[in-house]
Amino acid sequence: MNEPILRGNATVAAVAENLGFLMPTGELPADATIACARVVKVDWTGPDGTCGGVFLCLDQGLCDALAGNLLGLMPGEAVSAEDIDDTVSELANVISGNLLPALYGTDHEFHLQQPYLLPPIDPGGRREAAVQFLEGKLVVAMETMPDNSRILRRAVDAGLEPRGPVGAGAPRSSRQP
Amino acid sequence: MAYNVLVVDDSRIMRDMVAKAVSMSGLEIAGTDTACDGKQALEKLRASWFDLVLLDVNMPVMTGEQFLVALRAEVGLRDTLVVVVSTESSLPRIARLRALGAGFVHKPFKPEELVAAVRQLLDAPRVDGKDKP
Repeated sequence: MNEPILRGNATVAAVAENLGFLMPTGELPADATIACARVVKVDWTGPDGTCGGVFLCLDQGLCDALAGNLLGLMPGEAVSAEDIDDTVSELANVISGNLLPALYGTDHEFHLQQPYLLPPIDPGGRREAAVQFLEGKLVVAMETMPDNSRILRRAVDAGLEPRGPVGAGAPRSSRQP
Repeated sequence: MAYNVLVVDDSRIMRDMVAKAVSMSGLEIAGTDTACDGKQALEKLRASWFDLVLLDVNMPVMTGEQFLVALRAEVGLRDTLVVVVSTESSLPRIARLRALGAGFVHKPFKPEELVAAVRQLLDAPRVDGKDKP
């Protein structure tokens, strides 16, 4: 298997597939543009006084499909804005919970706050995943403070292997021996 | 035996998903109720009998871990079966939850994983030596 373009792609794709029954079809370029329909952020605190946020940016097609799948709606059934807000927030929560240990290791404890919505514009930040689904696009970015955190930098500098969520059987990159 | 199940999660979507997974799990279910944090869950447990609690970790007001500590300290409730259903991946925290006698299922999960965790708890020898529920 080829090296993933972004370290979090496998984890994000696996969570979206297993939680939201979305169908990943490939990786997007790291700098891919996306027509944001919803942007949601999950603030976190971690080891060594670190903190930060995980940003999810989804286009309209993915928002509609996610809400329909999670709520068990029939094709063509109307999806309310509140349903989309709730389901996107839940996806953000589960992706954040899986992505932080996938990037930084399972020895650290991360505490997640409740997800909240931001204006639907690309929030920037360090991109960790950009995935194309049959239903639409999803981009995930990370904010980490302080950015030179000893514990978190060690994981990044060592090129810690991106891992899928526990038990989800996500694909590994070619760096795996 | 049919189980009364309490689903504890701060997300409305996830409460509904877990409750649905329980109903599809093949376990015999007498009834299902929900709570949105650990404090509300304790209040419901004091008021009504539940055989099984499915518990999130990251919640406002009272976290799942705080709930478990309080539950195990409360006479009459301390033997309640608990399966943690969470995105938690921190090995130290998972070890603490297991040490409190909880099963663990990682989100996102499949219904059969939930059943396996419940069965594992039912089959485990009870510390107090009492009969299994």
